Amino acid sequence: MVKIAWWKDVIGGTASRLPNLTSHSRAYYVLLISLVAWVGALGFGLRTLLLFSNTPGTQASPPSLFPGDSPIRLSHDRASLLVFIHPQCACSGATLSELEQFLTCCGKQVETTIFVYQPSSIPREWVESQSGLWPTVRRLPGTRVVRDLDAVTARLFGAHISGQTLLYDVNGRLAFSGGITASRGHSGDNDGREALTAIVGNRVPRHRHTPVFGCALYGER
Amino acid sequence: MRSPLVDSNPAGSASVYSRTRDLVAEHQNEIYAQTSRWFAILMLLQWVAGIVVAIWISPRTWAGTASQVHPHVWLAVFLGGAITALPAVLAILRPTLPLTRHLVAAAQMLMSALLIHLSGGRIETHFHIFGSLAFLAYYRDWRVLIPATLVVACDHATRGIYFPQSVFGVLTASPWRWVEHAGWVLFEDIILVRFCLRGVSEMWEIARRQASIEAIGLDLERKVQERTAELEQARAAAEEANRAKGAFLANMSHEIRTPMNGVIGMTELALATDLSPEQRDYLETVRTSGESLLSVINDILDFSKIEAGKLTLDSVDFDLEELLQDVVRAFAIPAHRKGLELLYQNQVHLPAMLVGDPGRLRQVLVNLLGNATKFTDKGEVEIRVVEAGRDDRSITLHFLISDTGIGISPEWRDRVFEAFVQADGSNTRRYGGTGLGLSICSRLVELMDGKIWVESRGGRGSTFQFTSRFAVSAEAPAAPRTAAPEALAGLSVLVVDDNSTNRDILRELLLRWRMRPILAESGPRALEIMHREVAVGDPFALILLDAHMPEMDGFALARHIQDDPTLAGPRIMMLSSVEASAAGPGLRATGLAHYVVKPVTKASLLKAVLTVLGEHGPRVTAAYSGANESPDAMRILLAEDNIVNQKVMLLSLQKLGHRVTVATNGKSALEAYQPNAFDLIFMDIQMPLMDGYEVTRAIRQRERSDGGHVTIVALTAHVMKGDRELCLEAGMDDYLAKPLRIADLVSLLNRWKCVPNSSNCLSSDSAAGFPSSGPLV
Repeated sequence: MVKIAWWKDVIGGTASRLPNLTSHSRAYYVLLISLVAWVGALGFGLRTLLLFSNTPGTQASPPSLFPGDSPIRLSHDRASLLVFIHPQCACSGATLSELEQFLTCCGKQVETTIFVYQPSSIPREWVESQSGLWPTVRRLPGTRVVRDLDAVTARLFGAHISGQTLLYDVNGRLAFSGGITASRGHSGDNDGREALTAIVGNRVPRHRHTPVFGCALYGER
Repeated sequence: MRSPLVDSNPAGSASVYSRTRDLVAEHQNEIYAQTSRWFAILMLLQWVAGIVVAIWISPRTWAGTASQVHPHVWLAVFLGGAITALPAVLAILRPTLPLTRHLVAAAQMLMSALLIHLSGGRIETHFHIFGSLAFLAYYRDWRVLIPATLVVACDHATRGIYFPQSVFGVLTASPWRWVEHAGWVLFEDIILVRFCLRGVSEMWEIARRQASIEAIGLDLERKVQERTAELEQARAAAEEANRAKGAFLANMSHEIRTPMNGVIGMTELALATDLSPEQRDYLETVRTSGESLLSVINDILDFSKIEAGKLTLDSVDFDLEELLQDVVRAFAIPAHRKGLELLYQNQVHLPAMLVGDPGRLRQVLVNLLGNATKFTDKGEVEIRVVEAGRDDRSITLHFLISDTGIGISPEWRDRVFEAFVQADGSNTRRYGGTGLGLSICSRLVELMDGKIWVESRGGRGSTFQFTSRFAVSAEAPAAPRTAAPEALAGLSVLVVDDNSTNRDILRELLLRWRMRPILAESGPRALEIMHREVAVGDPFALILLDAHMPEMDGFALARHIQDDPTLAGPRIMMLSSVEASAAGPGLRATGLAHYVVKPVTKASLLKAVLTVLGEHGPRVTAAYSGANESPDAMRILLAEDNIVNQKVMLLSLQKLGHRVTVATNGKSALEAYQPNAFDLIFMDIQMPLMDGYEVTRAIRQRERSDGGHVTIVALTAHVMKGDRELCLEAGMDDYLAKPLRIADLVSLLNRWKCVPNSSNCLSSDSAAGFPSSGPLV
C-alpha cells in the first residue's frame, strides 16, 4: 500500500492535487506509455553505445621477434615502442593522450616510433590535415614519426587497427601487444598503459595483450 | 515563533496550519515550475552541445581511405534526443509534476554519461554529474537526488560487472569499485539533502508566519466588520430616535400652537370690541400670558433643536439695515411705556445686501433687546453696530446692546449663557422667562461664526456684545446705503432733545451728511438759538424735535414756532417714541412736516430728511398712514378645518374688510376654487380628505391649462425646518405661521395686495418665493 502511494506521488501526486491526472485519466495512460517507451529507447541506445565503445578491433598478429626487414632498427639500449596510427581516426586521439601520459613518466626508457598511415593515392596534405591527429603526433616529445606508406610496416608487424601498440625489448622479443585505451576513444586508466609501465619498470604486467579500439588502418575495421 | 492568537484558538491554529500547508505547496509549486523550466532549457542546450562535441571530436570513422559518419554523431543525435525528449516535454507541459523532476534527474545523469563518452572520457566532463546534482537541489526536493544517484550507481555497477575497462580502465577491476564511485556521489547527495531540508524548513517557517499574519488580519477584519455592523445598528437606532424626536417636536409644536392660535387670536378680536376697563384688563392679561407662553414654547423648541444638533442656519440675501430698523421699531413702544430712551446707532457703511440667516439674527437681537428692556427700569437702552472686520467677500459686525438696568454681578456673569440660568433665581419669579434665551443666543452666535459675551457691573447696567460674520451678497454692489445727496451739504439744522446721547447721535449723523447741526437741550434754549440765528440772517432749514421733554415738550415747541411769524419757514420733524396714531388728533395742527418714531435709524432719518426737504417722495410719508391702513377688499378663500382657527381667521379678515369664503377641508377648497374667483387663498396644511399640498398641486395643475395664478399662502402651525421648502415645492407663494397675529396678517395682505378682481397679485417684496425674514421658527 505504501509502495503504491509512493509511486503515485512520484508519477503525479495525489488525485486531489492533480485532478486531471488520476489513474483513470487519458493523460495518465499517455504518460505511462511515454515513460515505458522512453526507458526502452534509452536502454537500446545505451546498449548500442556500450557495445560500440567496448567492441575491440581485429586482434593483431605481430612477430614475436623484431623483424630484420623493418624500416627502423631495433634499439639495443632501450626497449622499442611502436604505435600505429590512422591520421584521421578520432578514436586514436585517446591513444595518443594515453601515450603522452606514458611518455611523461617513462619516455626515457623506450625508443618510441609512431607510424602514421599514408596512402600513396592520396596527397600528403591528407595526413597532415590540421583536423586530424598529425598536429598531436608532432607535438609528442621524444618520438620518431614515420609515414607508413600504404601501411606496409603495419602489415609487417601484423597491425590492423589504429592505436595498435607494440613493445620489443632490447633483445627484440615482443613484450607487449595491444591498445592503450579502455574503450573506443575513451581516455583514462587502462590495462595497456599499466602493462607498458610495468614492463619498462621491470615488473610483471597483469596483461601482455589488450584489445585495441580504433579505426581500421587499411580497409578493414 | 507562534502567534498568540493562533495559540489561544485551536480552531485558528488548525486553519493556520491548513493555510501554511497551502502556502508551502504554492511556493514549492512555483519553485518546481521555475526549476523545471530552467532544466528544459538546459537539457535542450546539452543535447545540441552533445551533437556539436560529437561532430567536432569524432565526425567520421575510417577504414583506410574509406570513411563514414562516426557512430558517436548518430548517438549524440538520437540517444541524446531520446534522453532529452520526455523530461523536456514534461518540464514544459507539467513542470510541477513529481515525475517530471525525477525524470529530469535521471536524464541529467544519463546526459552526463553520454557527454563523457562523446568527449572521449575527459575527466573534466565528469564534473557535469556533480554540477547537475547541485542544480537538482534547486528543486528543494531531496527525493530527486535518489533517481540521479541510482542512475550513476546502476551505470557503474552494470558496466563494472560487464565492461569494467569502460569505466575503471582495467579488465579486472574490483567488483566494489563502483561503490567507491557511488560513494562520492552520495557524499555530495548528503550535503544537498541537508540543503534541501533546510530550504523546505525555512519555507515552512516563512509560510507559517505569513499564515499567522493573514489569520490576524482576517480576525481583525472580522472584528471590524462586527463592530461596524454594531455601529451601523446603533447609528440606525440613533437616527430612528432622532426622527422620532423630530416628529415629536413637530407634533408638539402643532398641537400647542393650534390652541394658542385660538387663544391669542380670539383675545385680539375681543380686545377690538367695546369692553369695560375691567374686561379689557382681563383680556390684556390673557393676551400677554398667551404670548409669554408662546415665547416659552418657542424657546424650548429652539433649545431642543440645538441640543439635538438639528438647528441649521439659512443662507439667504437680506437687508441688515432694514432688519435692524424693524427690530428697533418693535421695541419702541415697550421702551416708551417704561419711560426708557431707546437709542440706535449704526456706524457701519453696510453693503446693500448680506447673506446669512436674518431670522436667527433677529431672534438674537430681539432676545438681547428684550432682556435689556425687561431688566432696565430707568435710563436708556442702546443698540449699536460697529464693523469688526471686512474683506472682499464678507463682513464681520460687532453688535452692542447696552442698558442702564440692574446689571449682573461678577459671579453670575460667566454663567448667564448657560441653559436654565438667570443671574438671580428671584429674577425668574420677578421678570419671568425660561432662562433659555441667552443660551439659545449663544449657540446661534456660534453657528453664525461669532462669539458672545457680556460686560456688566451690578446696578450699573450691562452691555451684551456679539460678533457675527456675514457674506456680502453678489446681487447688489456694496455701496453705502445712506450716502447723502449733495443738496444736504451746508444746511443748518437745529436738534432739540433733552437726552445728551440722542443729541450726540443726531449730530454725528448730520455731520456725516455735511449738514451744520446745532444742539439745544430744551425748548426755551431752542427758541433762543432760533431767534439768534434769524437775527444773523442764517435761519434753520430743518428742526428735529424730541416729542417728550420736560418743561416744554416737542409739540408745544412746534406750536410755538408755528405761532411766531419771525421763526416761520423751517421744516419741523418730530422724533417720538410713540406711533403717530397714538400721538393724538392734534398732530397735524402743529405743522409738523414729518413724524419719526424713535429710535431713529440712519436710513429712516435720511429718508425723512430728504422727504421733508423735497428731495423725493411725498411730503407726508407712510409713517402717518402706517401699515395699519386697510388694503382694498380682496376675495379670499380660507381653507381651514379647525373650527377655532377658522373663526379667528374669518373674523380677522372680515374685520380688515375682505370677502371670505370658507372651505372646511381640502376637497371642498378644491371644489370652491374657480379661475379668477379669488385673489388669495389661505391654505391650511393639515386637512382631512386632501391636505394643503395636494390641493395646491391640483390648483396649479388646473392653472397650467386654464391660465392665471392665484396667490396661495400656507397657513400652518408647522414651523420645523423644511416645511417652507415643502410649501414652495407644492406651489405655494407665501407662509403664515400660527398662532395668528393681526400685524403679521396685515403685513402679509399688504405684501400681496392687488387690484380687486385681478389674478395677478404680486408680492411687493418678492415676486417669487417667501420673504427672507419669514415667520419660520
